[in-house]
Amino acid sequence: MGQKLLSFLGHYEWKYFVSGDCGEEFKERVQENGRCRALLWYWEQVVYALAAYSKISTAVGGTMLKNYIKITWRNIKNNKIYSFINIMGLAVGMACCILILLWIQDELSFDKFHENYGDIYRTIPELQGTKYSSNPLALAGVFKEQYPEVRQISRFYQMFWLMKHGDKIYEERGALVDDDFLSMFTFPLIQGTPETVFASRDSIVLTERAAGKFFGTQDPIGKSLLVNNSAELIVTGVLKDVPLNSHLQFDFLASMRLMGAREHTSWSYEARTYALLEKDVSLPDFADKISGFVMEHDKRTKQKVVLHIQPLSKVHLYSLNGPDPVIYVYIFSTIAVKRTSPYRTSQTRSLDLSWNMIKEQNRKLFFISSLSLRSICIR
Amino acid sequence: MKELTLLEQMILAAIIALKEDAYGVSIRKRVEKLRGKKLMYGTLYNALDQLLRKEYVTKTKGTTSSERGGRPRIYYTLTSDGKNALRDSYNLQRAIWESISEFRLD
Repeated sequence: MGQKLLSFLGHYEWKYFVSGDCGEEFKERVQENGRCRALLWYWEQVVYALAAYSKISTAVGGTMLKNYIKITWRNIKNNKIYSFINIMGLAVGMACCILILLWIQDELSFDKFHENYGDIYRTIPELQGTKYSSNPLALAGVFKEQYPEVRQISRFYQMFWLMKHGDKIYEERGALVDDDFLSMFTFPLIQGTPETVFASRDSIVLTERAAGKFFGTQDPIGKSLLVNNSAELIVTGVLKDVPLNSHLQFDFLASMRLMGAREHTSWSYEARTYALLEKDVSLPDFADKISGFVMEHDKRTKQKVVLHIQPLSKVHLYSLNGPDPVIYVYIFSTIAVKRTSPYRTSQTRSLDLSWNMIKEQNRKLFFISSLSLRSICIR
Repeated sequence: MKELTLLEQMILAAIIALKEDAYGVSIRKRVEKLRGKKLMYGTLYNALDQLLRKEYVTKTKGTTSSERGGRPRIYYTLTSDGKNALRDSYNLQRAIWESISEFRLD
Protein backbone atom coordinates (compact mmCIF):
# COMPACT_ATOMS: atom_id res chain seq x y z
CA MET A 1 0.00 0.00 0.00
CA GLY A 2 2.81 2.34 0.89
CA GLN A 3 4.32 1.53 -2.45
CA LYS A 4 1.22 2.53 -4.30
CA LEU A 5 0.86 5.71 -2.29
CA LEU A 6 4.35 6.90 -3.04
CA SER A 7 4.40 5.84 -6.66
CA PHE A 8 1.07 7.64 -7.02
CA LEU A 9 2.81 10.79 -5.92
CA GLY A 10 5.15 9.95 -8.70
CA HIS A 11 8.41 11.25 -7.43
CA TYR A 12 10.80 9.52 -9.73
CA GLU A 13 13.34 8.42 -7.15
CA TRP A 14 10.85 7.16 -4.64
CA LYS A 15 9.11 4.95 -7.05
CA TYR A 16 12.22 2.86 -6.85
CA PHE A 17 13.21 3.23 -3.30
CA VAL A 18 10.04 2.36 -1.50
CA SER A 19 9.19 -0.78 -3.36
CA GLY A 20 12.79 -1.59 -3.96
CA ASP A 21 15.08 -0.55 -1.19
CA CYS A 22 12.49 -0.43 1.52
CA GLY A 23 10.98 -3.71 0.45
CA GLU A 24 14.35 -5.38 0.47
CA GLU A 25 15.23 -4.16 3.91
CA PHE A 26 11.71 -4.91 5.07
CA LYS A 27 12.21 -8.57 4.30
CA GLU A 28 15.47 -8.60 6.23
CA ARG A 29 13.76 -7.02 9.18
CA VAL A 30 10.90 -9.47 9.13
CA GLN A 31 13.39 -12.24 9.76
CA GLU A 32 15.27 -10.32 12.40
CA ASN A 33 12.62 -8.50 14.42
CA GLY A 34 9.33 -10.05 13.40
CA ARG A 35 6.64 -8.88 11.06
CA CYS A 36 4.99 -6.38 13.35
CA ARG A 37 8.10 -4.37 14.05
CA ALA A 38 9.14 -4.50 10.42
CA LEU A 39 5.77 -3.19 9.33
CA LEU A 40 6.05 -0.38 11.83
CA TRP A 41 9.47 0.48 10.51
CA TYR A 42 8.23 0.37 6.91
CA TRP A 43 5.41 2.76 7.59
CA GLU A 44 7.68 5.05 9.54
CA GLN A 45 9.81 5.29 6.45
CA VAL A 46 6.81 5.95 4.22
CA VAL A 47 5.36 8.64 6.45
CA TYR A 48 8.70 10.31 6.81
CA ALA A 49 9.28 10.18 3.08
CA LEU A 50 5.90 11.78 2.52
CA ALA A 51 6.73 14.52 4.97
CA ALA A 52 10.04 15.13 3.25
CA TYR A 53 8.28 15.15 -0.10
CA SER A 54 5.69 17.65 0.99
CA LYS A 55 8.43 19.88 2.33
CA ILE A 56 9.66 20.43 -1.20
CA SER A 57 6.56 20.38 -3.34
CA THR A 58 4.33 22.40 -1.07
CA ALA A 59 6.82 24.81 0.35
CA VAL A 60 4.73 27.61 -1.12
CA GLY A 61 1.36 26.15 -0.13
CA GLY A 62 2.49 25.34 3.36
CA THR A 63 3.83 28.78 4.05
CA MET A 64 0.78 30.41 2.58
CA LEU A 65 -1.59 28.26 4.55
CA LYS A 66 0.22 29.07 7.75
CA ASN A 67 0.11 32.70 6.81
CA TYR A 68 -3.62 32.66 6.18
CA ILE A 69 -4.24 31.15 9.55
CA LYS A 70 -2.05 33.75 11.16
CA ILE A 71 -3.81 36.59 9.32
CA THR A 72 -7.21 35.28 10.29
CA TRP A 73 -6.19 35.07 13.89
CA ARG A 74 -4.77 38.58 13.90
CA ASN A 75 -7.88 39.84 12.19
CA ILE A 76 -10.05 38.30 14.86
CA LYS A 77 -7.90 39.81 17.55
CA ASN A 78 -7.89 43.28 16.03
CA ASN A 79 -11.61 43.49 15.25
CA LYS A 80 -12.93 41.90 18.39
CA ILE A 81 -16.44 43.31 18.13
CA TYR A 82 -16.93 42.55 14.45
CA SER A 83 -15.47 39.11 14.85
CA PHE A 84 -17.69 38.47 17.82
CA ILE A 85 -20.78 39.52 15.86
CA ASN A 86 -19.75 37.43 12.90
CA ILE A 87 -18.86 34.32 14.79
CA MET A 88 -21.86 34.60 17.08
CA GLY A 89 -24.10 35.15 14.07
CA LEU A 90 -22.68 32.12 12.37
CA ALA A 91 -22.97 30.05 15.53
CA VAL A 92 -26.55 31.08 16.20
CA GLY A 93 -27.46 30.54 12.56
CA MET A 94 -25.91 27.12 12.54
CA ALA A 95 -27.58 26.21 15.82
CA CYS A 96 -30.97 27.27 14.44
CA CYS A 97 -30.41 25.29 11.28
CA ILE A 98 -29.42 22.20 13.19
CA LEU A 99 -32.47 22.49 15.44
CA ILE A 100 -34.76 23.02 12.47
CA LEU A 101 -33.24 20.09 10.64
CA LEU A 102 -33.66 17.88 13.69
CA TRP A 103 -37.27 18.94 13.97
CA ILE A 104 -37.92 18.25 10.29
CA GLN A 105 -36.26 14.88 10.60
CA ASP A 106 -38.49 14.07 13.56
CA GLU A 107 -41.65 15.18 11.77
CA LEU A 108 -40.85 13.20 8.66
CA SER A 109 -39.99 10.09 10.65
CA PHE A 110 -43.50 9.81 12.08
CA ASP A 111 -44.88 6.25 12.05
CA LYS A 112 -42.15 5.07 9.71
CA PHE A 113 -40.95 2.45 12.18
CA HIS A 114 -43.88 0.19 11.30
CA GLU A 115 -42.86 -2.67 9.06
CA ASN A 116 -46.15 -2.42 7.17
CA TYR A 117 -45.85 1.37 6.96
CA GLY A 118 -46.71 1.56 3.28
CA ASP A 119 -49.72 -0.78 3.42
CA ILE A 120 -51.60 0.50 6.45
CA TYR A 121 -54.56 2.78 5.84
CA ARG A 122 -57.24 4.19 8.04
CA THR A 123 -60.84 4.65 7.04
CA ILE A 124 -62.24 8.16 7.16
CA PRO A 125 -65.99 8.81 7.10
CA GLU A 126 -67.19 12.14 5.74
CA LEU A 127 -70.39 13.66 7.04
CA GLN A 128 -71.77 16.83 5.55
CA GLY A 129 -68.41 17.83 4.15
CA THR A 130 -66.44 17.23 7.34
CA LYS A 131 -64.09 14.29 7.67
CA TYR A 132 -63.69 12.41 10.93
CA SER A 133 -61.16 9.91 12.12
CA SER A 134 -63.74 8.08 14.23
CA ASN A 135 -65.53 5.24 12.53
CA PRO A 136 -68.64 3.28 13.40
CA LEU A 137 -67.75 0.54 15.86
CA ALA A 138 -69.33 -2.19 13.78
CA LEU A 139 -67.64 -1.11 10.57
CA ALA A 140 -64.42 -3.10 10.94
CA GLY A 141 -65.91 -6.58 11.00
CA VAL A 142 -68.20 -6.11 8.02
CA PHE A 143 -65.53 -4.23 6.12
CA LYS A 144 -63.08 -7.10 6.31
CA GLU A 145 -65.68 -9.64 5.29
CA GLN A 146 -66.80 -7.68 2.29
CA TYR A 147 -63.44 -6.74 0.80
CA PRO A 148 -60.83 -9.46 0.14
CA GLU A 149 -58.24 -6.70 -0.34
CA VAL A 150 -58.16 -6.21 3.43
CA ARG A 151 -55.61 -8.51 4.98
CA GLN A 152 -56.01 -7.40 8.58
CA ILE A 153 -58.13 -4.82 10.30
CA SER A 154 -58.10 -3.35 13.77
CA ARG A 155 -60.02 -0.76 15.64
CA PHE A 156 -58.34 1.60 18.08
CA TYR A 157 -60.75 2.83 20.68
CA GLN A 158 -58.97 5.35 22.85
CA MET A 159 -59.68 5.06 26.57
CA PHE A 160 -58.63 6.78 29.78
CA TRP A 161 -58.81 4.29 32.59
CA LEU A 162 -58.27 4.66 36.28
CA MET A 163 -56.28 1.59 37.21
CA LYS A 164 -55.51 0.24 40.65
CA HIS A 165 -53.02 -2.31 41.90
CA GLY A 166 -52.57 -2.59 45.65
CA ASP A 167 -52.39 0.97 46.87
CA LYS A 168 -51.23 2.39 43.57
CA ILE A 169 -53.81 4.22 41.51
CA TYR A 170 -53.00 5.92 38.23
CA GLU A 171 -54.97 7.16 35.29
CA GLU A 172 -53.57 5.79 32.10
CA ARG A 173 -54.17 6.46 28.45
CA GLY A 174 -54.72 3.41 26.32
CA ALA A 175 -56.99 1.75 23.88
CA LEU A 176 -59.22 -1.16 23.11
CA VAL A 177 -57.92 -2.92 20.03
CA ASP A 178 -58.64 -5.97 17.93
CA ASP A 179 -56.46 -9.07 17.93
CA ASP A 180 -54.81 -8.06 14.66
CA PHE A 181 -53.47 -4.83 16.10
CA LEU A 182 -50.12 -6.12 17.33
CA SER A 183 -49.36 -8.04 14.15
CA MET A 184 -50.37 -5.12 11.90
CA PHE A 185 -48.35 -2.46 13.66
CA THR A 186 -44.81 -2.85 14.82
CA PHE A 187 -45.12 -2.40 18.55
CA PRO A 188 -42.78 -5.08 19.83
CA LEU A 189 -43.67 -7.10 22.90
CA ILE A 190 -41.03 -7.75 25.53
CA GLN A 191 -43.12 -10.40 27.22
CA GLY A 192 -45.91 -12.38 25.65
CA THR A 193 -46.63 -13.16 22.00
CA PRO A 194 -48.84 -11.05 19.70
CA GLU A 195 -51.09 -14.03 18.88
CA THR A 196 -51.90 -15.03 22.45
CA VAL A 197 -51.94 -11.90 24.59
CA PHE A 198 -55.62 -11.26 23.87
CA ALA A 199 -56.66 -14.90 24.07
CA SER A 200 -58.72 -14.16 27.13
CA ARG A 201 -61.25 -11.35 27.13
CA ASP A 202 -60.04 -9.98 30.45
CA SER A 203 -56.46 -9.45 29.44
CA ILE A 204 -54.47 -6.26 29.35
CA VAL A 205 -51.08 -5.41 27.85
CA LEU A 206 -49.02 -2.66 29.46
CA THR A 207 -46.08 -0.70 28.19
CA GLU A 208 -42.80 -1.03 30.03
CA ARG A 209 -43.32 2.37 31.60
CA ALA A 210 -46.80 1.65 32.91
CA ALA A 211 -45.76 -1.80 34.14
CA GLY A 212 -42.88 -0.22 36.02
CA LYS A 213 -45.26 2.24 37.65
CA PHE A 214 -47.60 -0.43 38.96
CA PHE A 215 -45.32 -3.37 39.66
CA GLY A 216 -41.83 -1.89 40.02
CA THR A 217 -39.28 -4.57 39.41
CA GLN A 218 -41.73 -7.44 39.89
CA ASP A 219 -42.79 -9.61 36.98
CA PRO A 220 -46.12 -8.09 35.85
CA ILE A 221 -47.34 -11.15 33.94
CA GLY A 222 -50.36 -12.72 35.62
CA LYS A 223 -50.91 -9.82 38.03
CA SER A 224 -54.34 -8.27 38.13
CA LEU A 225 -55.39 -4.64 37.76
CA LEU A 226 -58.66 -3.17 38.94
CA VAL A 227 -59.98 -0.94 36.20
CA ASN A 228 -62.39 1.92 36.92
CA ASN A 229 -63.27 0.12 40.15
CA SER A 230 -65.37 -2.34 38.20
CA ALA A 231 -63.40 -4.91 36.22
CA GLU A 232 -60.39 -7.06 37.06
CA LEU A 233 -57.97 -7.44 34.15
CA ILE A 234 -54.97 -9.80 34.03
CA VAL A 235 -51.68 -8.59 32.58
CA THR A 236 -50.66 -10.91 29.77
CA GLY A 237 -47.93 -8.96 28.04
CA VAL A 238 -45.47 -6.09 28.26
CA LEU A 239 -44.87 -3.78 25.33
CA LYS A 240 -41.82 -1.74 24.59
CA ASP A 241 -42.60 1.93 25.21
CA VAL A 242 -44.36 3.56 22.28
CA PRO A 243 -41.93 5.73 20.31
CA LEU A 244 -42.63 9.46 20.49
CA ASN A 245 -42.82 9.70 16.73
CA SER A 246 -45.92 7.54 16.59
CA HIS A 247 -49.32 9.11 16.14
CA LEU A 248 -50.81 6.26 18.16
CA GLN A 249 -49.92 6.89 21.79
CA PHE A 250 -50.98 4.53 24.56
CA ASP A 251 -49.81 2.91 27.76
CA PHE A 252 -52.09 -0.08 27.76
CA LEU A 253 -53.99 -2.19 25.27
CA ALA A 254 -57.04 -4.27 26.05
CA SER A 255 -59.25 -6.46 23.95
CA MET A 256 -62.14 -4.97 22.00
CA ARG A 257 -64.29 -7.82 23.24
CA LEU A 258 -64.61 -6.01 26.57
CA MET A 259 -67.21 -3.87 24.80
CA GLY A 260 -69.58 -6.80 24.74
CA ALA A 261 -72.12 -7.23 21.98
CA ARG A 262 -72.04 -3.54 21.18
CA GLU A 263 -68.76 -3.88 19.28
CA HIS A 264 -70.58 -5.66 16.43
CA THR A 265 -73.86 -3.80 16.42
CA SER A 266 -73.23 -0.16 17.26
CA TRP A 267 -72.95 2.19 14.32
CA SER A 268 -72.09 5.19 16.44
CA TYR A 269 -68.87 6.90 15.56
CA GLU A 270 -66.45 5.89 18.26
CA ALA A 271 -63.27 4.08 17.19
CA ARG A 272 -60.52 4.69 14.70
CA THR A 273 -60.15 1.89 12.20
CA TYR A 274 -56.92 0.78 10.58
CA ALA A 275 -56.72 -1.67 7.71
CA LEU A 276 -53.72 -3.52 6.33
CA LEU A 277 -54.29 -3.91 2.59
CA GLU A 278 -52.78 -6.39 0.19
CA LYS A 279 -49.73 -5.05 -1.60
CA ASP A 280 -51.16 -5.12 -5.12
CA VAL A 281 -54.39 -3.22 -4.41
CA SER A 282 -55.17 -0.39 -6.81
CA LEU A 283 -55.96 2.45 -4.44
CA PRO A 284 -58.24 4.63 -6.61
CA ASP A 285 -60.42 1.63 -7.48
CA PHE A 286 -60.57 0.54 -3.88
CA ALA A 287 -61.45 4.06 -2.73
CA ASP A 288 -64.30 4.10 -5.30
CA LYS A 289 -65.55 0.75 -4.10
CA ILE A 290 -65.75 1.67 -0.44
CA SER A 291 -67.14 5.20 -0.72
CA GLY A 292 -70.76 4.04 -0.24
CA PHE A 293 -69.96 1.43 2.37
CA VAL A 294 -71.46 3.11 5.42
CA MET A 295 -74.69 4.05 3.61
CA GLU A 296 -75.04 0.47 2.52
CA HIS A 297 -74.80 -1.09 5.97
CA ASP A 298 -76.00 1.51 8.41
CA LYS A 299 -79.72 1.50 7.77
CA ARG A 300 -80.61 4.14 10.34
CA THR A 301 -78.45 6.93 8.99
CA LYS A 302 -80.34 9.75 7.37
CA GLN A 303 -77.29 11.78 6.43
CA LYS A 304 -75.09 11.09 3.47
CA VAL A 305 -71.87 9.44 4.60
CA VAL A 306 -68.92 8.97 2.26
CA LEU A 307 -66.13 6.63 3.34
CA HIS A 308 -62.56 7.62 2.43
CA ILE A 309 -59.23 5.99 2.96
CA GLN A 310 -56.02 7.59 4.18
CA PRO A 311 -52.54 6.09 4.10
CA LEU A 312 -50.54 5.98 7.31
CA SER A 313 -47.95 8.27 5.75
CA LYS A 314 -50.51 11.10 5.64
CA VAL A 315 -51.87 10.69 9.13
CA HIS A 316 -49.43 12.92 10.94
CA LEU A 317 -48.63 15.70 8.48
CA TYR A 318 -51.91 16.04 6.60
CA SER A 319 -55.06 17.17 8.27
CA LEU A 320 -58.49 15.80 7.42
CA ASN A 321 -60.05 19.23 7.09
CA GLY A 322 -58.39 22.53 6.39
CA PRO A 323 -54.73 23.25 5.67
CA ASP A 324 -52.21 20.47 6.02
CA PRO A 325 -49.64 20.88 8.81
CA VAL A 326 -47.01 19.68 6.35
CA ILE A 327 -46.81 23.30 5.22
CA TYR A 328 -44.86 24.09 8.40
CA VAL A 329 -42.26 21.54 7.41
CA TYR A 330 -41.92 23.24 4.04
CA ILE A 331 -41.73 26.69 5.61
CA PHE A 332 -39.09 25.71 8.11
CA SER A 333 -37.01 23.82 5.64
CA THR A 334 -37.03 26.90 3.42
CA ILE A 335 -35.93 28.98 6.37
CA ALA A 336 -33.21 26.49 7.18
CA VAL A 337 -31.83 26.80 3.67
CA LYS A 338 -32.22 30.58 3.48
CA ARG A 339 -30.69 31.05 6.91
CA THR A 340 -27.30 30.07 5.63
CA SER A 341 -27.14 32.82 3.03
CA PRO A 342 -27.20 36.00 5.21
CA TYR A 343 -24.47 34.58 7.37
CA ARG A 344 -22.48 33.65 4.36
CA THR A 345 -22.56 37.28 3.22
CA SER A 346 -21.54 38.51 6.63
CA GLN A 347 -18.60 36.17 6.47
CA THR A 348 -17.56 37.55 3.11
CA ARG A 349 -17.96 41.05 4.44
CA SER A 350 -15.52 40.35 7.21
CA LEU A 351 -13.20 38.95 4.59
CA ASP A 352 -13.54 42.18 2.62
CA LEU A 353 -12.49 44.13 5.68
CA SER A 354 -9.30 42.20 5.88
CA TRP A 355 -8.74 42.07 2.16
CA ASN A 356 -6.32 45.00 2.14
CA MET A 357 -4.40 43.41 4.91
CA ILE A 358 -4.17 40.15 3.04
CA LYS A 359 -2.94 41.88 -0.08
CA GLU A 360 -0.22 43.57 1.89
CA GLN A 361 0.72 40.32 3.54
CA ASN A 362 0.75 38.54 0.22
CA ARG A 363 3.40 40.82 -1.10
CA LYS A 364 5.65 39.97 1.80
CA LEU A 365 4.67 36.38 1.51
CA PHE A 366 5.75 35.94 -2.08
CA PHE A 367 9.08 37.43 -1.22
CA ILE A 368 9.51 35.10 1.69
CA SER A 369 8.30 32.00 -0.10
CA SER A 370 10.53 32.61 -3.08
CA LEU A 371 13.41 32.88 -0.66
CA SER A 372 12.50 29.69 1.13
CA LEU A 373 12.01 27.91 -2.18
CA ARG A 374 15.47 28.93 -3.30
CA SER A 375 17.01 27.85 -0.06
CA ILE A 376 15.50 24.43 -0.48
CA CYS A 377 16.32 23.93 -4.13
CA ILE A 378 19.83 25.23 -4.05
CA ARG A 379 21.25 23.87 -0.91
CA MET B 1 30.19 26.89 -5.35
CA LYS B 2 28.30 25.93 -2.26
CA GLU B 3 29.92 23.67 0.32
CA LEU B 4 28.64 20.17 0.83
CA THR B 5 26.57 19.51 3.89
CA LEU B 6 27.79 16.97 6.41
CA LEU B 7 25.18 14.49 5.27
CA GLU B 8 26.19 14.87 1.65
CA GLN B 9 29.79 14.32 2.58
CA MET B 10 28.87 11.16 4.41
CA ILE B 11 26.82 9.87 1.50
CA LEU B 12 29.56 10.58 -1.03
CA ALA B 13 32.10 8.91 1.21
CA ALA B 14 29.84 5.90 1.56
CA ILE B 15 29.43 5.66 -2.20
CA ILE B 16 33.18 5.69 -2.67
CA ALA B 17 33.71 3.09 0.01
CA LEU B 18 31.02 0.77 -1.29
CA LYS B 19 32.37 0.94 -4.85
CA GLU B 20 30.16 -1.19 -7.08
CA ASP B 21 27.73 -2.04 -4.33
CA ALA B 22 26.46 1.47 -3.63
CA TYR B 23 22.68 1.45 -3.73
CA GLY B 24 19.90 2.66 -1.39
CA VAL B 25 20.00 0.00 1.26
CA SER B 26 23.76 -0.27 1.56
CA ILE B 27 24.30 3.49 1.55
CA ARG B 28 21.69 4.00 4.21
CA LYS B 29 23.17 1.31 6.45
CA ARG B 30 26.68 2.58 6.09
CA VAL B 31 25.79 6.20 6.81
CA GLU B 32 23.66 5.19 9.72
CA LYS B 33 26.55 3.23 11.20
CA LEU B 34 28.93 6.10 10.62
CA ARG B 35 26.90 8.79 12.33
CA GLY B 36 25.39 6.47 14.94
CA LYS B 37 21.96 7.99 14.34
CA LYS B 38 18.89 6.93 12.43
CA LEU B 39 18.72 7.86 8.76
CA MET B 40 15.40 7.76 7.02
CA TYR B 41 15.02 6.90 3.37
CA GLY B 42 13.20 10.15 2.88
CA THR B 43 16.22 12.11 4.02
CA LEU B 44 18.64 9.92 2.09
CA TYR B 45 16.82 10.24 -1.18
CA ASN B 46 16.25 13.95 -0.80
CA ALA B 47 20.01 14.36 -0.41
CA LEU B 48 20.71 11.99 -3.31
CA ASP B 49 18.33 14.02 -5.46
CA GLN B 50 20.30 17.14 -4.69
CA LEU B 51 23.55 15.41 -5.52
CA LEU B 52 22.10 14.14 -8.77
CA ARG B 53 20.90 17.58 -9.69
CA LYS B 54 24.34 19.02 -8.99
CA GLU B 55 25.77 16.14 -11.04
CA TYR B 56 28.03 14.93 -8.26
CA VAL B 57 26.73 11.40 -8.68
CA THR B 58 25.23 9.39 -11.53
CA LYS B 59 22.89 6.48 -11.29
CA THR B 60 22.65 3.24 -13.19
CA LYS B 61 19.88 0.72 -13.10
CA GLY B 62 20.91 -2.68 -11.85
CA THR B 63 19.31 -6.05 -12.40
CA THR B 64 15.68 -6.61 -11.54
CA SER B 65 15.07 -9.18 -8.86
CA SER B 66 11.78 -10.56 -7.63
CA GLU B 67 12.59 -9.93 -3.97
CA ARG B 68 12.45 -6.19 -4.63
CA GLY B 69 8.95 -6.31 -6.05
CA GLY B 70 10.16 -6.12 -9.66
CA ARG B 71 12.06 -2.91 -9.13
CA PRO B 72 15.68 -2.65 -10.24
CA ARG B 73 18.34 -1.54 -7.81
CA ILE B 74 19.67 1.91 -8.51
CA TYR B 75 23.45 2.06 -8.18
CA TYR B 76 25.22 5.34 -7.61
CA THR B 77 28.72 6.30 -8.66
CA LEU B 78 30.68 9.47 -8.10
CA THR B 79 31.46 11.81 -10.98
CA SER B 80 34.69 13.78 -11.16
CA ASP B 81 32.74 16.84 -10.04
CA GLY B 82 31.63 14.90 -7.00
CA LYS B 83 35.16 13.84 -6.21
CA ASN B 84 36.34 17.44 -6.50
CA ALA B 85 33.58 18.64 -4.27
CA LEU B 86 34.41 16.03 -1.66
CA ARG B 87 38.08 16.91 -1.84
CA ASP B 88 37.21 20.59 -1.48
CA SER B 89 35.19 19.93 1.60
CA TYR B 90 38.00 17.79 3.02
CA ASN B 91 40.43 20.63 2.45
CA LEU B 92 38.00 23.04 4.00
CA GLN B 93 37.57 20.89 7.07
CA ARG B 94 41.30 20.52 7.44
CA ALA B 95 41.72 24.27 7.04
CA ILE B 96 39.18 24.82 9.76
CA TRP B 97 41.06 22.66 12.23
CA GLU B 98 44.47 24.00 11.22
CA SER B 99 43.27 27.55 11.71
CA ILE B 100 42.79 26.82 15.38
CA SER B 101 45.75 24.50 15.86
CA GLU B 102 47.40 26.97 18.22
CA PHE B 103 44.38 26.75 20.54
CA ARG B 104 43.60 23.73 22.60
CA LEU B 105 40.18 22.26 22.25
CA ASP B 106 39.10 20.89 25.52
